[in-house]
Amino acid sequence: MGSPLKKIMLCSSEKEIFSVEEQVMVQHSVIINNMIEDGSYNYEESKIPLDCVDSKTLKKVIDYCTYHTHHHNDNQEDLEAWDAQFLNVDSNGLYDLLMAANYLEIRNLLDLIYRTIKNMIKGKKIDEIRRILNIKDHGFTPEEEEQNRKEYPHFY
Amino acid sequence: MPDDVALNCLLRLPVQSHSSCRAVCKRWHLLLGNKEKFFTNRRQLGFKDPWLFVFAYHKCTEKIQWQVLDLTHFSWHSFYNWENMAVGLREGWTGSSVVVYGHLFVVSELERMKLKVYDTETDGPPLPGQICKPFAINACDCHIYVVGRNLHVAVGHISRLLPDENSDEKWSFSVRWHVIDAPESLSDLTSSSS
Repeated sequence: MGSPLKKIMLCSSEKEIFSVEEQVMVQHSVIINNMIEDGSYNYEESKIPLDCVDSKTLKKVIDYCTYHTHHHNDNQEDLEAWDAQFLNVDSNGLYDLLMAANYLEIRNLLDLIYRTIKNMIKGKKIDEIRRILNIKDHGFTPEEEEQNRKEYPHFY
Repeated sequence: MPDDVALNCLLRLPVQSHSSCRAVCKRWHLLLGNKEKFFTNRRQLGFKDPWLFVFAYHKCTEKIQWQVLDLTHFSWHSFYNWENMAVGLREGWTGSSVVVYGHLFVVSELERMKLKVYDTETDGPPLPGQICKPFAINACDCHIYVVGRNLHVAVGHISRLLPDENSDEKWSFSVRWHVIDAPESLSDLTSSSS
């Protein structure tokens, strides 16, 4: 576990540098924790390149990790309310966050997003799910699609 | 959406959503597979939702099937595979059951029946003759405990017989029974439920 005031540098896909308390990222991201632990991060020179995370998403991820580091003793209800507000983004924003959390292995954020997506599709008709998740090519042949529609008309 | 991410969302859905999500797109169709795979995947991801599995026997069609009660939503689901039973093995599948070594052992409610192992082709070893009208069964590690009329108890130590490396034979089981005869004073007793 790093000392609380040490900072590390994260570099977004737009090459924007974010300076974050080491402890905040180490506590949440398995990948960054491993980098710090195995000594591959040099505090003087290193910037952790996150080529698949844009600045807007990286800022949100850092916000999430910072809030949860400093408020982990808050009561569950307050945290859940904060999380709900945090994830009040459009589906592209949610997708970017999901990919960033997946890349950085931020387990509690991943879990939160998984649950959010689950709730978005739970009990929905197939056409709605395709619209919500922006699935344009379902990959079924026209025959398979027709067969599915015939077999489960109430799902559509 | 990458497959592992999609699967993580999909496996969180209640099992009712399984069929409809399979029709959303081809990738999900392949990811979700059949219901057996759905349950196996959930277990691998460490979800601990309560499920009650009931091993059911259809008296008319003589087929056996898993029925699952989702204890969160109180809804029943059946697994697709209706197994045809080999002729001559159809009797004795009604009774109590227990899982040892990942196999389902069924103690028949009928008397003088063999211990059943859920495998469509073979039966297990016989039950000791003293045990009549078995009404309770439980298992702990590789031991199986059967309680019958007059409170006779049979403790079976189940061992797996390894199939030959080169053969396609499945696991077989042997049971060493130890019967604890009930004292005479209990001989008039039986289960309050029978």
